[in-house]
Amino acid sequence: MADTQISNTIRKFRFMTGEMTQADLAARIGATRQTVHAIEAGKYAPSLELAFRIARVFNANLEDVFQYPWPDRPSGP
Amino acid sequence: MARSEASIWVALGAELVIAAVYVKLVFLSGPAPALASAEMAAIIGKIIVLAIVVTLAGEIAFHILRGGGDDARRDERDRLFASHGNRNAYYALTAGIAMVMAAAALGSDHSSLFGVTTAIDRFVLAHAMLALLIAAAMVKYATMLFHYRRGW
Repeated sequence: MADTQISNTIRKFRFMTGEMTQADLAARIGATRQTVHAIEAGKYAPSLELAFRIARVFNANLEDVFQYPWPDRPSGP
Repeated sequence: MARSEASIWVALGAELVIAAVYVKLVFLSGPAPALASAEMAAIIGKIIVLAIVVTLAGEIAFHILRGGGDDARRDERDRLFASHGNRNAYYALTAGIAMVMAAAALGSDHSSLFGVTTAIDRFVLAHAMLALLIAAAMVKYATMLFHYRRGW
């Protein structure tokens, strides 16, 4: 199981929401603190459902919290 | 350390203790008892009680040492690790059973060709299967602990 290519800005969002702890976030999304730590460190890619739950905690869109590289993205029409 | 990881350490330790006690009772305390005997039934009864006691003691000891705390739940990452452990345990079990089946087949059909008696009697067969089950459980626990320690 390799590290994921999905990056995230969870640390930034935690800071912006009053320095929310990993344990607090874990409790709000129904996961363990270790899982939040692994996601934040880019070692574990969460399921889509868990990713949505994390984004909802921060009242943000999914792609504001999680990013995936798209090197060959076509330019607009 | 999350509770789920600690539980695996407890299960692994309990498995080792139980296997060691079984080996001592069956193989290292005089002649091995017959499979269908009151002595073997008593040993199995002791092993079942020991398994319950050791597992409970381990869980309680861990709970006291860590002083309660967070992360009592299992989440999707724990379930993913468990599924990887089960997959690897299945591979180990399948490979082991294939070897035992091959040994049984060769022993019954071709022992005279090799000039040695390789037939597997019921006692050996039962204990080979038991050893495979224990080995498969070890593979499962080791896989899960590897994932947890790796930090995934």
